[in-house]
Amino acid sequence: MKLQNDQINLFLDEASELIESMEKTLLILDENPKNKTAIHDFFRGMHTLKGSSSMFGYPHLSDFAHHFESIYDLIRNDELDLNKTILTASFSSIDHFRILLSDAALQDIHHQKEHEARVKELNSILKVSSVIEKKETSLFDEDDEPTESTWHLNLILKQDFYSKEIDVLPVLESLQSLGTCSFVINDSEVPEFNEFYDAFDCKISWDIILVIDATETTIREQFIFVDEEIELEIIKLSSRNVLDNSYLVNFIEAKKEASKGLQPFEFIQLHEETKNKKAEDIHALETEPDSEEDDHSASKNVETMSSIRVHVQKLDTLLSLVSELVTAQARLNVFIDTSSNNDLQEVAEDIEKITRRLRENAFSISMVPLSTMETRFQRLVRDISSNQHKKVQLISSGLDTELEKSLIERLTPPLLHVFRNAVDHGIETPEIRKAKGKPEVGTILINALYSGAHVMVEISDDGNGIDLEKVKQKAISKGFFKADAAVSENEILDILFKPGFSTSETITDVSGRGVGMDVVRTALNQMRGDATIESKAGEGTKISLRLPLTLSILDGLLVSSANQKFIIPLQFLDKCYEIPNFTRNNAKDDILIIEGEQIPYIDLRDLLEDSTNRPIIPSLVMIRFQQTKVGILIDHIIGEHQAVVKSLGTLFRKVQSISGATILGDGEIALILDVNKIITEYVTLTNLKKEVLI
Amino acid sequence: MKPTEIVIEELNNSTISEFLQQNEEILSGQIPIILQFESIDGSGFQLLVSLKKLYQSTGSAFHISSSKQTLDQIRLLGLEMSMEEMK
Repeated sequence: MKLQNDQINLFLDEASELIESMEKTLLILDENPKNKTAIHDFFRGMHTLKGSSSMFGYPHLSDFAHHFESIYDLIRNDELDLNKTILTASFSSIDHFRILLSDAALQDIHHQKEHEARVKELNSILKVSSVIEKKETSLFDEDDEPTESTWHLNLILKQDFYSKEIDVLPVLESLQSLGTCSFVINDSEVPEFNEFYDAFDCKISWDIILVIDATETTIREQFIFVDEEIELEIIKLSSRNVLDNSYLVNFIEAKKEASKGLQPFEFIQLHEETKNKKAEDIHALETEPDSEEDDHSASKNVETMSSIRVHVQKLDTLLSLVSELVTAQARLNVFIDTSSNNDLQEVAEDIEKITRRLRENAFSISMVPLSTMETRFQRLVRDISSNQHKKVQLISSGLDTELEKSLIERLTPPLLHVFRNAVDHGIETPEIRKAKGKPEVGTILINALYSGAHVMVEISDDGNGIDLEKVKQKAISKGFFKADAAVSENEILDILFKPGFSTSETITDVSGRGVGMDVVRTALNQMRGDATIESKAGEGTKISLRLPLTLSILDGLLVSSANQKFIIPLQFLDKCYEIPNFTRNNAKDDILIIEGEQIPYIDLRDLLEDSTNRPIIPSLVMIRFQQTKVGILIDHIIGEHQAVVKSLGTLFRKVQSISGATILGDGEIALILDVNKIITEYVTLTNLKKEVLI
Repeated sequence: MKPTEIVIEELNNSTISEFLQQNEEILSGQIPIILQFESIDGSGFQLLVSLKKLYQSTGSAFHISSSKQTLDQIRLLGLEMSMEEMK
C-alpha cells in the first residue's frame, strides 16, 4: 500500500502544480480572452486533471473538471465566448479545485455547499445541460472509434510468491501474446546483492503498458492462476493505441533504463502534452527543430527525464544531516589543531573541503526562486483590483532570486498582506488618479535582490502614499508620542508597524495604509529579518523586507558572560567597545556614555542571574534593531562564528531571550540571543519604570 | 581485466542457492563477469536485476550470455543490460 500512497502523493503534487499552471494561464486569458494558445492550454490542463483525478479516486474533482472541460471545449471550438462571467467563474473554480484536492470526499459541509454552488454556476454558463452529459468511459477524449485500448498495469508479486513453486515469467509472456506490451521494472525494493540471502523473497515489481483489443476482465484472466500471490492494479489510460506517439515510446524506454517503474500520471501528462504531434511531425521536429514552442516542448521532455521529485521531508533530513556534519567537522578541527600528525591533518583538510562543498550543494537544493509565488501575487492583485474597480498592473523584477524553501513558505503570507494593502489602500481609483494627473492604471512593483547574506524584497506602489501628519496625530491620540515630542519621519512611519496602530478605523482615517503591518514585521522578525517603510504623500509607498538566505546557518558574534557562551546575530551588530573602569550604578537606569552618547544597556549576567566577579574590562556589544540602539554588556568577545542553528525544543519554548542554540567545535553549547525579544522586553520594562516614576 | 565466465545451465528457483554459494567470492561486484545460462525463471530474473544493481554501483562489467530466445525474453520483461547471444 506504500506504493499506492506514494502515487497519491505524487498525484497531489502534480495536480497542485497543474492547478497553479492553469491559474497562470487564466491570468493570461484575463488580459487577452482571445488568446487561442492559452485557451487550448487551459483546456488540456483541465483534461489532464479530470483524467488523473478520476484515476486516483477524486470523483468530485474529476466531475468538476469535466464540467469545466465542457465549457472550454465550446470556447476552443468558437461555440462560446470567453466573457467576464466565465473568467470570474474560472478563477473561483481554480480555488475550488484546491479545496477538492484537500477534501476529496467533501466532508466539510461548507466545502459541500461551495461545490454545489460552483457546479450550479457552471451549469448556468453551459445553459444546455446536455452538453456536459458527454458519453465517456476512458480517461482521454478521442474522436475516432477505437479498436485497441492502452492500459497501465502495476504488478507486485507478494512476498512468498516463489516459495509456492510458481513462476511469473509464463504469466507475463501470456500477457505479451495478447497485444503490444512494454514492461518497466521497479527495482527500488530489490535488496542489495550482499543482502540477497533469500532469492525467494520477492521484491521486484513491474509497471506494464499494454495495448490490447480486450476488456479488463480479459487482462485479469491472464493472472487467474496466480491471483492469490500478486497485487494487480489495472487502469485504462486510453480508448486507443497511444503508442504511435514516439515521445511516449521514448519515455517508456527511458523508464526501462532507470528501472524505477513508471507512474501513470507522468504518462498521461506527457500524452496530453504531445498527443497532437504525430509520429511524422515528431520525426521532423527531431531532425530539424524550427519552432520555438516545439523546441520548448522538446527541452521540457529532456528536463522530465533529468530531474526527479524528492519529498520535502527527505530534503529536510538531508539538510539536518549536513548540519550535523558541519558540527562534527568543527569538532574534528579542534582535535586536528592540537595534532602533529601531518597525514591526519591532510585528511582533515580534505574532509573539510568536501564538507563545505556538500553543505553549499545541499543548501542550494533547498533554495527556491521567489518567482514560484508570482502567480499568487498576480491573482491577488487581479482579484482585489477587479472588486474595487481599480486598474492595477503588477511589474516584477529579480524574482529569480532564491531563498530557502521554508523561508519562501513563511514569507508568502506577509507578502500577500503587503500586496493587499497596496491595492486596497494604496492605489487610487482610475477617476481619482486621472484627477491627480496620474495614469489611470496604477503600478505595483516587486523587486528582489541579494544583499550580502540577505535578500531584499521591495514592494512599491505609485498610489496615495502616507500622510505623515495624520499618522503622527493618530499616534499622539493613541499615546505613542507626546504631543510636543520631536519625532523623525522614520519614527512616524515606524509607528505603522506597532500592533495597537493596526485598526481598520486608523487606516481609513489616515491614508489607507497600515493594515496589519505589525503582522508583517512580526513575521519577518521571526525569520530573523525586518520590514521597513518609506512613503511620500500622494506619490506612493515602498515596503522593504529584509531576510536571511537561510534559517539553518547564522553568522554571529561569539561572546561569553559568566562562563556561558552566546551568539549575537551579526545582522543586528553595530559596534563593539571595551569598557575600562566599569562600575554599575544600581540606583539608576543602566546607561553608559559611549562616544558622547547615552546608551542604555542590558547586562547579560542579569539574564543568567549570576553575580560572580566580572572581568576588570568587560565589553559592550552595541546592537541596533529598527530605530532602537541598545548595548549588551558581556565579559568577553571571542570572535565571529558561523552557527548551525538548533532548536531548543519544546521544553525551553517559553524562554524569551534565546532563539536557539548551536554546538561549538569543542562540543560546548552556545545560546543564540533573540535580539528582537531582548530589546522589546527592555523597552517595555523601561516604559514601565518611567510610568512608575511618573 | 578479462571477465570471469560463470556457466550455469538453468538459473532458476532450485539452482540459485547453490549457485550463490559456489560463486560467492566471484560475485563480489569487483571482478568483471560473464554469466552464461540456457534458461531462466522469475527468481533467476530477480537475481539478474540484483546483480545488475551491484555491478552498476561498483562500475565493474557484468554481461550475460544466453540463447536468443532467452535474451529476448529478458529484454521483453524490461531488463536492459549488456547481453550477448550464446555461441
